[in-house]
Amino acid sequence: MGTAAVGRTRPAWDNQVVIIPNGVAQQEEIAAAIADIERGLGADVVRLRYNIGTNWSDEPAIYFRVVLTDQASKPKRLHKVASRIRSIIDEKLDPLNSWGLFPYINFRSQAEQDMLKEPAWE
Amino acid sequence: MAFHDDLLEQARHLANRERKQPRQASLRRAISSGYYALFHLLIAEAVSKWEIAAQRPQLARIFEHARMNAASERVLNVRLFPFTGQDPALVAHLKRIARTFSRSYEQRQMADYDNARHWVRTEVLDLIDTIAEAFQSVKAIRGEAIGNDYLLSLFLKERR
Repeated sequence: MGTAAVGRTRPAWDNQVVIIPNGVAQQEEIAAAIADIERGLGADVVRLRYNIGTNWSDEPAIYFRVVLTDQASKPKRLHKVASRIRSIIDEKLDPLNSWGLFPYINFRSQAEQDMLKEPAWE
Repeated sequence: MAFHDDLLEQARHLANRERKQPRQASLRRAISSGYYALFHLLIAEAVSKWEIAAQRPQLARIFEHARMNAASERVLNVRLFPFTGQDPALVAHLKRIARTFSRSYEQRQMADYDNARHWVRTEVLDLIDTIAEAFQSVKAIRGEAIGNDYLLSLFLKERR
């Protein structure tokens, strides 16, 4: 189960108990669960990368970076493919309610990544 | 077309503005326009409940981005909102709206203020598609109690 920090159940100035989101404390479990998911994403996905951090509101978050094949990234297919992957991550991992991490899932095509060569997406 | 529809159309136009090599300025403004499309749609839905039409623009000014985002994140937390006994289809629509709002809020903040972030067309088109889908979900729960409660939460201050 996630952490009370997500629900902001106490005033911000009350720091009597320091709450660590499950996701931060259970990184090995998360890595295993994500590796398991990645194997089932199918041929549209080249690779899946992620990192845990905080979002713009300073809430614990997990950022997924999904590199898709160029075929799967074409505008006519993109929404269907991205929705399917997002549903799998939401339903099988449910990062917010399992680990207290708000999920963000971003996609780029293989061709876009080949041009940018951003290490975080490799 | 309504203002929010125009913004969504503008977002798609900007995302596709350059045939090859999209400019970062076009992609960033596309993200911002997409976010504002959903922001203004939700506000329009909420203030439409106010009977005196002439006062709705004034009422619309009380909505705040961060508060709307916090309300959307709370809806996705099953401990706070288990939705026991609710119609699963309506709950799915509500969660899609809330998830899309939070996601587009985050991306709009980065698009507007984080110059280190590089955007690609694929992720921007995906965001716009997702926002368009959220538009359909807003229609699907229009007038439903679950939707009305969410719209109210978007401008009420959270009680501790």
